[in-house]
Amino acid sequence: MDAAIELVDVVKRFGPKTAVDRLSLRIPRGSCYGLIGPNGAGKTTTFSLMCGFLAPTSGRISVLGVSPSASGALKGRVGVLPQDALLPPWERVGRLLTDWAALSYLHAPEQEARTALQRVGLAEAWDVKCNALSHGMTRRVAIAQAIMGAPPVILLDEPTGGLDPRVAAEARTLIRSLKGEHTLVISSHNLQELEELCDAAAILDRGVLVRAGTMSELTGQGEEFTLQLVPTAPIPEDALRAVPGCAAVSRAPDGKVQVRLQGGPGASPPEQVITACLRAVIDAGGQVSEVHRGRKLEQRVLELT
Amino acid sequence: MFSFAKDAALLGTVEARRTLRSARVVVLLVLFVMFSGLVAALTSLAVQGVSRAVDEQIAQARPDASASERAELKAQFEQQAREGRSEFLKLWFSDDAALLEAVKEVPVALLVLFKLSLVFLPLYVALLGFDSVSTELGSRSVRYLAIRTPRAAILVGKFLGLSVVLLALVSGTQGLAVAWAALSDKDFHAASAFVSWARFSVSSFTYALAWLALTTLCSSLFRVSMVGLVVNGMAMFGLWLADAVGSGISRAEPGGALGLLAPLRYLSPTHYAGDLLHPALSRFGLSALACAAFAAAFLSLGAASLRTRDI
Repeated sequence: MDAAIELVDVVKRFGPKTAVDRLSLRIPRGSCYGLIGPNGAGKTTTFSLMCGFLAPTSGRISVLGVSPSASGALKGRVGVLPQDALLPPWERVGRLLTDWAALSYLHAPEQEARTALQRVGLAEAWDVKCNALSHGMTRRVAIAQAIMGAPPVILLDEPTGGLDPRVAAEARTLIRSLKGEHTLVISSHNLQELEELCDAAAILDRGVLVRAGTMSELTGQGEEFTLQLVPTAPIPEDALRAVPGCAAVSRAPDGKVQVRLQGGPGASPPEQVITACLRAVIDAGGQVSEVHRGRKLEQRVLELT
Repeated sequence: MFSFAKDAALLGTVEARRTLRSARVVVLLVLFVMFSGLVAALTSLAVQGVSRAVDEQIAQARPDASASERAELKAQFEQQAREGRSEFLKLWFSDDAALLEAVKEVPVALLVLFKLSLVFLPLYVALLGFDSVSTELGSRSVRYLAIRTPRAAILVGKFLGLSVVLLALVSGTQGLAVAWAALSDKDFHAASAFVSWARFSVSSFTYALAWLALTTLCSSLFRVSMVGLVVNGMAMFGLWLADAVGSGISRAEPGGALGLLAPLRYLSPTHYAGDLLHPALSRFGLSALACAAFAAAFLSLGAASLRTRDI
């Protein structure tokens, strides 16, 4: 698939500190891509490099075929939600968004600004000064400016950071609605959110790429699944082992049953194996309270970083 | 190129709106009025003192003189006063005969005020715009702009916006000063006052543009506005010193051991301020061009710095 964003051997140093070390990434057009890692992993630096806010010490970055550092290269083509950029406190929200829309050469700046503000549920904040907005409202205004004009690439750094659960859920719904039409890059600490939203992700640690791939690959969805059985019922481990497509069955310390799937060509599809395993448990008189395919992204990240 | 100009114009409008809404403009206006008032009061006192001294000298010289003799004496003293004014202006304002002729109808107090305002103008400009870019860098709000427009357009836009405010401030303050002079001096007619206002405004504004570009440059170098202001102050002092040293040497001993330092004066906008009031278009044009060149150089440096730095 054609790449919307490509980083090749990118290094970014701040004095003696190497924040990003020989990072190569390819983000396909139309995908929703996550940047994952602990604090200091280089997520925000990578994000800022993609936006052209930082210049790489070495290596090559291309966003929609152009270098983001090139003068005015991303005008109207990329929407960005920076993590720590403040809104100008003296401006009114509507005026500010209209000016920014005009600066992006959007066709009807005021209309674009009103629509974007409406999409983040802040239509009533049009005449409010930026310094009178709460943290959550500020974040939503910042999201609004990023999606104005429906740019082909949207980069979001911690889009739900500091939002209350209801507003965060609304923001996730908004991001979900953008999927498919735009290339989305999301940098976040919220791994559950990324697992839910992203098609693929890169896991960074201390500036180095640890693993990159589709969400299915990262969480091992085609490799294993976990069954949570009701403890009072018997656990038919032998029956599970006999199911075609099962490579191994083991008990986790928390009592869950982990089933590893056979891989390679000719292997049974995971859905078929899971169904057969469930049937085996039920036939043996067991009761299933939960099925989870692959590992939790959080667990995977903790293993890798 | 067109899109760059369009972006800079839009950003300039935003910057002008922001600055005009801020209390800073009012503070600067009040500062100028206070400064003008002080200068006006001091020069008025001096002029009144001279006038009183003339009357006393006439009274003491010929206590029994007839009215016609007194008038003659007064005319003599007034002639001396005019010569004194001319000497004072030669020493303090300019020794250029054409320039002095061009401002012969302008009250001394107004010329003193204009001259002093040029001295303090760089500081005035620095206070107006020291945080124009650094605030955006410090809060990182510049990122919202940089994704939409070339960074150089941000710098030029800020400069343009502040230029508009500066033009309003300069013409307004000069207007106040000229109006005061016209009201307090019956020989300073409305037509002369209007011409003086226009010339003072154009000269001050042209001169201020070079300093505004320096202020914008200093502001674009730092995230902390106060650091930018301090560096701006140091640069101002350095440029003033270059002119003072260069001019001093060129007057005192151009062929001496320090003669090599004389051309230093050409490296400072201060050197070109004097001719901005000159009636000869070529002299004015050359000085205006020099100020514009300084502005272009400072802005180019700022744009280069902003383009290459991390924001």
